Amino acid sequence: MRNVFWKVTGFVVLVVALFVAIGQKVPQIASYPPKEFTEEEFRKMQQTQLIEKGRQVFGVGGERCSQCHIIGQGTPGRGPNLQGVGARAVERARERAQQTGRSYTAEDYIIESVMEPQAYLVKGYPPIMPKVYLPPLDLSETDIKAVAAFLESQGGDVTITSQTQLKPEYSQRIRAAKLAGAQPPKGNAQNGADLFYNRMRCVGCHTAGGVGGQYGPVLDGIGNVQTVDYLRESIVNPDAVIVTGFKKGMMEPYFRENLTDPELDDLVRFLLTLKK
Amino acid sequence: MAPGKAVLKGLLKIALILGALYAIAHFLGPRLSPADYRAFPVTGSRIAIWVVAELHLLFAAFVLGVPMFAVITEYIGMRTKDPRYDQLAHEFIRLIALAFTMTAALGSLFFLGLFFLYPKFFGYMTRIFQPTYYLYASLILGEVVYTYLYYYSWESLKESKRLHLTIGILLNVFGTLIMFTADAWASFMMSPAGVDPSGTVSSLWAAIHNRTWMPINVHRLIANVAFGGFIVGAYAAFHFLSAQTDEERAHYDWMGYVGNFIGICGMIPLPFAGYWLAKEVYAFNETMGISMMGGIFSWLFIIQAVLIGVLFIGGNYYLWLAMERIPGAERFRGYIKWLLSILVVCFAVWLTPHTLIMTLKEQQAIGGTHHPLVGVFGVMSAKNTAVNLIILTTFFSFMMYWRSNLVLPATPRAKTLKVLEYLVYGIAASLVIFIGVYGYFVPTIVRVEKLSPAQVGTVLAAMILLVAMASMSVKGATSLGEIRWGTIPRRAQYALILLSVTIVLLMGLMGYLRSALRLNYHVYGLLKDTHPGAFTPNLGFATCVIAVVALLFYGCVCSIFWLGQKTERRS
Repeated sequence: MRNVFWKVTGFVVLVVALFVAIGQKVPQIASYPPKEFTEEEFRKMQQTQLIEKGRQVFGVGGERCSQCHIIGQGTPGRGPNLQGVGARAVERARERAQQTGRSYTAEDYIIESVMEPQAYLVKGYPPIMPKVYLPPLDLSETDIKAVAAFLESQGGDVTITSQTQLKPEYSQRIRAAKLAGAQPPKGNAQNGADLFYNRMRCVGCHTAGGVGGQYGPVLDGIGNVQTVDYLRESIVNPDAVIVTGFKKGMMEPYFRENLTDPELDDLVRFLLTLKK
Repeated sequence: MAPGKAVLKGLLKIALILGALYAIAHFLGPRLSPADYRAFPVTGSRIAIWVVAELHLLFAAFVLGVPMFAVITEYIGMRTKDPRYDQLAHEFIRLIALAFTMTAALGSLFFLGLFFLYPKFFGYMTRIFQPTYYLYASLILGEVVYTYLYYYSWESLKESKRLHLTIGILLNVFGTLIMFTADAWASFMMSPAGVDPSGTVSSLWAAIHNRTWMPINVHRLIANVAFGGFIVGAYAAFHFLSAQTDEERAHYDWMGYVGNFIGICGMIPLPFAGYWLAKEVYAFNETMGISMMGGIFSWLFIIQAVLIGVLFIGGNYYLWLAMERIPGAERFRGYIKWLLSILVVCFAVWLTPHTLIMTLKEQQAIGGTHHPLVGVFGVMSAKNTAVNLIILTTFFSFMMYWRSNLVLPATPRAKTLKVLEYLVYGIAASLVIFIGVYGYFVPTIVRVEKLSPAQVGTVLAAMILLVAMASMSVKGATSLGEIRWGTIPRRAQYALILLSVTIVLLMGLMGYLRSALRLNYHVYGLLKDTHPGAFTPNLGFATCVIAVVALLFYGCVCSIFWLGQKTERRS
């Protein structure tokens, strides 16, 4: 019986080894989530870095955009071949301008194609492209700028930089999508309210619930438009993003230094309840 | 052992495992610092969870598949009054008690792994599915009661077979409900429903009854039958190879045949269930469907085609070898080369990738990215046609085996039936090919919604019709002799072992696909995998992990069989 056992075991190992060998012979594609950058890192990004990030977001061999679009040689995909799209964009923008009566640059056309692919379809292709800012693609605003810059680099002049502002309606759409998909934040809103109105006296400079000072932005309705990350950053590093009409250095680092991590969660949770 | 005492013993064992699980989670959980993810030494948490989950699923398939096998064989034994079927069912259900403990232990390890290593994900799932956890635990206790009752009442209910079979059926009902509950969690991760984007539950039933739940249930249920059959086949093959007497060889030869029969019977409807699941994946989220069939996972289906091809060709090969021990079967040898040719051609079509990996020079040499002839076979129309023809061919082999020692009566009725049978095969095959070719000229949606179901319907209708006709044609047939059990060539036993290893690898591969399809999400589109080491491994890496799990499973099953034998000898 022992002899049979080893023979059978050898046979099993051989079959399994053949399976592994076949697995090594097929094309190897691993999928990594695109690298996340902070707002600060993104703003400092050089154009070549931006294009490289765009290339990563675009993906290879069936990830994200490359699932349906190819660039150059290969089997035609479900979407147009994007080789030379940067050059073609000039002509497409002209056509789009004629069609809509509005001015269009190549940059406008490319960003519109990413954000609203159904707006001006390439002839012969069906309207099947999903919204890139919604799950499962779930691209962030920075991802979208990067991928647009990468597409411009395909034969055209790259005008998109990390400082480029998307149309406000696009930014709003992306932000709304992220808000909808946000996980329930940690923290206790009641404790947060106590911190805001009493212990930290944030109310001295900010208005919330119709009461408070005007030295900082009014926070009523902030829960509708901002994310957990943005609110945390505004407390931890208040000068990272300055709201129009206010100056840097107005908010003291004192606030962060006197908050424990759970208190910070409580405060953010309270700010998220400030909805109109 | 008395049935009541055995049930108590089984309940105690499972209660101990569940109690230990609760105690560890309850006492250790709050003492750890809060985190979204925690690290696991050496392999990392991802691989650790993968290995434990897959091993657990393989054992779960074993403990769910074998009772189905046992009840079917016990029922056949009751109907045919052949005691061998009863013995076979009894022999296998004995192993379940041991395998059950192993499954529960692995399940507990899996639970603890998720609880400690993926607390954010575990918390998210618990918020949604907590009520089902209690249901799951209750169902497990029910399963334990009926498993032990079914096994230990075998002798005492010998004269009340119907009652005993009812216990067996109840055991399977509990097993199936356990699987359905766990499938709700797994399918929710793939196609979530009943929750809003922030994870707040609007309907627990909608979360359970999500888009892929029922297709996964059906697919796994059938796969478990096939799995149980092939594992039994491998067990029989090992014993046949190490048998000392002709009597033993005859017994295990017969057991191997029954295992293969049930395994192949399960394999026949499996591609249809798989097709339904894939269709629902597309319906839920087209991006996910495209990733699966045309994106980064498209090459996985080439490996899947190899494995399924091995299962069908291996199953047929076993039947052809088994005909060597049937008097009169030599009359049908001529068919084998044609059947093999059809299988090989269909296998080759199924294997054809949609996109060939070529250098620019090679592309220029063949005039494009698709080969002018072979390229036509890389699409679903051709592949669906191939798989339907493989199923029809396998069915033909079965029918040929079944009647290989019979001489049909020379009556006009029998002759007409024989002609009609060939006609049905011919019409069915022609229709499948016609629909397949027609599929090239219609939009995808027509092919998916109408043509593919029509192909499946044709094959199923033909099989039902052929079984009815064959049953009528054998009336009044004379036998050329009994099957010489035990004289089957030894290589047929290796075919059985090959089938069992292949189905384990196939289950591992498809499990990887189901999980990997979510890409960087724990719950597709809702809960992102934000682990710093998150990635979807490539096929080379995945096949290595699956291979390790398959070998571990093989080792564990060998130990269980060995322990089972030891227990039997002692008793």
